[in-house]
Amino acid sequence: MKGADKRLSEWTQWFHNCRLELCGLDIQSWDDGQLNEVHNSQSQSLVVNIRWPVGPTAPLVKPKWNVVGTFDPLSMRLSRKDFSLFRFFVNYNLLEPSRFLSRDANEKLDNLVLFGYEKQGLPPTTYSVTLQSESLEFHFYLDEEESSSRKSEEVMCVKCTNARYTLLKNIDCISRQTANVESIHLAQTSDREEWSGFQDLLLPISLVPGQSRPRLLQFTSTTRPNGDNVKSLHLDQAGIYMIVPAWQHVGDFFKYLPTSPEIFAAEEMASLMQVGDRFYRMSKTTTCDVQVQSTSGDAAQVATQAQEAAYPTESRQFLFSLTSPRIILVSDATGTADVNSCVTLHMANLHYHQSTHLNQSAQSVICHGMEIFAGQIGNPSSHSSLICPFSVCGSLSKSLPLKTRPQVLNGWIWMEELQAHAAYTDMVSSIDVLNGVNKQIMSNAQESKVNSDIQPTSDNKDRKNDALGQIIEAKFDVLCGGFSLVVTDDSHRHFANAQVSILSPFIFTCDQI
Amino acid sequence: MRSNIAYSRFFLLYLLLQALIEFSLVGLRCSRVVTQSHDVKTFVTLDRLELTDLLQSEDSPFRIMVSSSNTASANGGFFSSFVGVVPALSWESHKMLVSDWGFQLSSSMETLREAIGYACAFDKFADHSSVQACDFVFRNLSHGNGISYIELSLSHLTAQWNPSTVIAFQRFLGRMKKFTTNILTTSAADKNVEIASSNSSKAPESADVIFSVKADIQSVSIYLSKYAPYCQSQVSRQQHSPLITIFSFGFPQQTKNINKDVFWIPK
Repeated sequence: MKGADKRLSEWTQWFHNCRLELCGLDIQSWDDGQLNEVHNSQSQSLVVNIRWPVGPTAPLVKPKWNVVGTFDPLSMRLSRKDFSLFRFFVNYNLLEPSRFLSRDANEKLDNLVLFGYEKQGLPPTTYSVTLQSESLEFHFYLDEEESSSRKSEEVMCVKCTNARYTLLKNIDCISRQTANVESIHLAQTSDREEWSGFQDLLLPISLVPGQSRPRLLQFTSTTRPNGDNVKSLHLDQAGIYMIVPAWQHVGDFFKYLPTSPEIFAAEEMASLMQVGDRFYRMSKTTTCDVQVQSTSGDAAQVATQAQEAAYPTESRQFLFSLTSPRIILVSDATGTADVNSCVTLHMANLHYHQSTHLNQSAQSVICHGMEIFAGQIGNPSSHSSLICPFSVCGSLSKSLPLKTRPQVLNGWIWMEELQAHAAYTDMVSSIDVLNGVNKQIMSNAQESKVNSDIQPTSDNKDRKNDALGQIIEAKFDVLCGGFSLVVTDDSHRHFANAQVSILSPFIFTCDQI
Repeated sequence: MRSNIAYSRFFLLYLLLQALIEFSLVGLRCSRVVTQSHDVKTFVTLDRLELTDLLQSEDSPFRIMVSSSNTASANGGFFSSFVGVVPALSWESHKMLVSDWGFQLSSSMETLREAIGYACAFDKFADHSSVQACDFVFRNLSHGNGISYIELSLSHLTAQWNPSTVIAFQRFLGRMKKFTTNILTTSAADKNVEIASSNSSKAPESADVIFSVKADIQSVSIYLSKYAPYCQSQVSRQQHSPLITIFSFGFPQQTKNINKDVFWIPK
């Protein structure tokens, strides 16, 4: 080997490469329940490529571990328990914060599970994990224990195409997650008659009739080692059927899932009972509670201090953005009516931002270019918006109560001038839809009330307690440019000798453009 | 900036429709304050209100059916002066911006928040000169002990009876009634059921409200007119003066208020 080649060889970065091919991927829950649909056991279900650097310059290569996994079309069927377990698995294996080991050395780690991926005092591991699949399908259902009918009940089906998930952690210990989905389709699959007419709740819009034009869903989440988190969810050109009870039913599936494992303190050991590999608390009254009850001097102050202590110390942000969405409201969700009116809200852009920092929380909304179209399902007769493109923005900030300061709520809304016209058919359709949506909401509220009365859970108690918390100081301002409504006649039976006035508002307003 | 395409779509329908009436409210400002002592203050101001008969020709003196315009509001009112100091609501200038960590409000949104806070400040509603440019002012102060003060100010209101428009509007409502009969019947039936259920579930509550109402009206004019509505000839305003002025009063020069205080103390 010549000298130059030898030097080149010394400075060439070499990598170990590993390729894993898994056939017949079979995923089961802890109780042997089948979670995925197993295809032909001879075909490849998952291919994983792993690459990491070697040699003297290896520490300079960041991220160190590069993992790319490609799934074959994957179809999973998850109950609430399975989904909760799946989430635990992802959170506490891939994203477990104790892996950073950046906490105070004096802090006791007795109550945390350490997986030993990192070594204290050494630079943290850097990695990039990418998982991708051409087709993902998730079926969610309620098992016999959770279904009101005591039978297994389907809830929804989510189909994603060309999904790609990336988890990146560099030397700054900030984990960055990104999920991109080319197309997402959410359908409710319950057999409820109340909303049986509309299975699709979220689907991509194809702008050109007959031409499929899938659009993008993007989710990002960035987390600092101290727990500060920023999430964003973006939907592009989504069609959303706003069937209120159906969305409520879908949302309830993810409500009140256990969000973190229950951690027992050493003082509680006497009140624990072990059955198999699980621990159960015999009494919910802890030693802390006993202390609180015994010091009956100033219960309110103690409660406030406890509430303050419960405030999150990390900051969190969430941005939900929509580009050109179409939100469709229908009068008859059962789909049995001969004529089913609908109202479509179309927006150019929407941003909803929520942030929490210490005892401050704020929500902001910006909606730009909103239009409303009235018509009928399957026969969208109106091609013209009922309102001139309309924009609105607002904000609501809340400071949680502290020992020295009451709870303060501040909000404001700014609206441009709303210009609308109303004709016979549009008004009739709108009234019909409003009436139908009102009925959907009322029936859903009644059902929720019945369920909450039947099952008074601890969550319901907490919510009641929250509602009792009174806002001491509040200010809410609304400023609107105005409202202009032109009542029009579309019966084509115009009043005699008055045709000349038809174009007058049109000409006048066009001059203003 | 609103797109011209969207504007065009909005006005396309005018080519096929006949405009009957335009109802417009200009410059609506509302603020609600809850204090530590459980007092609730509500303020609402409106720059201008107008009801226009679009079947009348542009130069017809009967085109404006109801108007609340006075000198101050006709010069633009409060809202037009406010719009001059805030940026137009465009997406690029108001959307959330990416910051060093997460997202932050744009400077336009911050400006807007400060401007609205200034425009809806408590002293702005108490300031006479600030609300003078508004045709309609509503103030409500509810104390935590149940005593409420309501104050209503209306500067000028002019309305005129125009038989042709009323007939046209009745025809419009009559046609619409045919379409909405089923809807209204169904909703009324549902409402009756809800009312019945709510009546059965709610116990009668004793009213314990003490309130005071103060109305301050500068002038109200109602005219009864007789006029050939679709006459194409140019006529002067003097030739078509109102047939009868059925109700008109006002106090433009001096401060005279129509005050009515109502006190009701339950047993």
